[in-house]
Amino acid sequence: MKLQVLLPTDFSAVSLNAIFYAADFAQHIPCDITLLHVLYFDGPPPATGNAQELEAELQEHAKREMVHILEDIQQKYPDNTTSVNYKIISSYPVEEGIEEETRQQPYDLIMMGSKGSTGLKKIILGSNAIAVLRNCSLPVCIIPEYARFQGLEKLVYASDITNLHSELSGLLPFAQYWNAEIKVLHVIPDNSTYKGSTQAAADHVVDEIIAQSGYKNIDVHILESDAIAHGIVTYAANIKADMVALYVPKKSRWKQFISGDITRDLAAECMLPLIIFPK
Amino acid sequence: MKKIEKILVPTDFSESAENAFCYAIELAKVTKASIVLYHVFKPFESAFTTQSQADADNQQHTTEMLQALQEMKETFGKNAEHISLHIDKGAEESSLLQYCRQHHIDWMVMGTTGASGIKEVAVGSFTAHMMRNADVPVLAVPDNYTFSMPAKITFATDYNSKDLQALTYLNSWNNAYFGATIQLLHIDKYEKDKDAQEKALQQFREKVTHHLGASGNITFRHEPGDHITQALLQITLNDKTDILVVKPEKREGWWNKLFQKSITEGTAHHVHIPLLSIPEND
Repeated sequence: MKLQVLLPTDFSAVSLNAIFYAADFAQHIPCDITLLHVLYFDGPPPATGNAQELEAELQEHAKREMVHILEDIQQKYPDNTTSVNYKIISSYPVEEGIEEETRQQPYDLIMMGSKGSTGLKKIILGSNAIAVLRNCSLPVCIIPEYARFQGLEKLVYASDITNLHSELSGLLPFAQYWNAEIKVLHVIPDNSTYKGSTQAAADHVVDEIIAQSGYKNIDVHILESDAIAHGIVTYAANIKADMVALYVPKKSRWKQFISGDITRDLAAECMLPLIIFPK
Repeated sequence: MKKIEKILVPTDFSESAENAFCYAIELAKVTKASIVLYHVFKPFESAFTTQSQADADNQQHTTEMLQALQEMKETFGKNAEHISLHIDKGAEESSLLQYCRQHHIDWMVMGTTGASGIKEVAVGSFTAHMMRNADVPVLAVPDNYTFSMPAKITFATDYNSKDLQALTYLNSWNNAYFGATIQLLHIDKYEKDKDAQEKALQQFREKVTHHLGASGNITFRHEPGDHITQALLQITLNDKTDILVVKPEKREGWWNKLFQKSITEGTAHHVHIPLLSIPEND
């Protein structure tokens, strides 16, 4: 079965990088990639000229860009067997168009570029990457500007450990494709007195998961840090991880804690590829 | 060849400094260096107490601090050899710089944040100051970052011939101790002329080859980017660089952005890997 990947793009350098990241990714894992461009009109209609003409022109422009990208991919991967298609739709706000698309087609994964906190322009990437992942029921993989796909050997999975069983059900198949080492990372405040007991409890949960799933490549690390997002990325840098994974619970008392600030901080700050699993 | 025989670890007894000390211990094992664990405080002086009383107080403080260093050594440096302790009295910066000069320190290893605990800035002001002003290379280790044998060292270059001296040092340390790949990374503005960029790279490549001969395991990477600091940090994180080498500049420049919270961008650059500054020697 092929992985159905949706790749929203606005033709910026960041999103082009995400496309090539996905194309590299697709050389290792059977995928169908759909490139999606969302035309949006947020201002008043133009005073002169015809709005429909304008839209048709933008359509035409987007089409040319898409064809160009497909040619580039063909050139870079002459033996490419991945099917890469494109779609151009109109929607405002942009993220609603993306959501609508995911409801109509059975996608497995959304991949998109993000420029992070700087250069945040009023375009699909950046703030929109965050808007998409907030409501999305699919895993969203955010690719930063300079990331190159180099395989997936190590994955840092940031978790509060409380729902590890159900959370890992989404991540495990993904990690298994690559036989990636999953490093479950739990960040607790500095000088916490619970470090020892937390480690023991986390080890126990992971042992259970290994016993149940038969996937041995998991272990857990407890990190003391007050700056949570910063701590996660430094840990990932330290162990040379290829990707950071995170899970967004829809409703829990951790909601504020995880789906609010940490996800946003990580999406904005994490300069490594970040994959976010919904509940 | 310049060796790494003596490593100085200044401590303010913060967790950041403890972590840097642990890193330095592992580094010293590789380079067979000795470590000086160093603390400096401003001596107490007051017109309201007699000189003898002030002296006695300062003496007592010195003893206490020495005790604290001893504890730190015993906690983290159990299996390490050649760790000596030193307490200085005086202004932090000047005492530290002077000590380095007088005692032939080869490298300084310190934490990125220090006791200020302000994690919002990428590199604490004291560390930043040291990286800019010390005569010796300063390695700033991020909190919670542990030592591993460097496999990839990235040197940020603007293709200036002045970089060659620092690169020569780096190459000799690398050949002697690490055996890593040295990547020369250059970030260019997007809109710049492509041909000129290509030419600059060629010229610099020739210079480097001429300067280092065949002794280096050097690769080149040239990337476009509007935000140099952001690009540097992102690239080195993604390509699994172990140490990012920067040449300190005393004048204002992109380099200083590493240490400041940018007002226009509203964010601090977060440094996740060790940063090494190699100063120019006269």
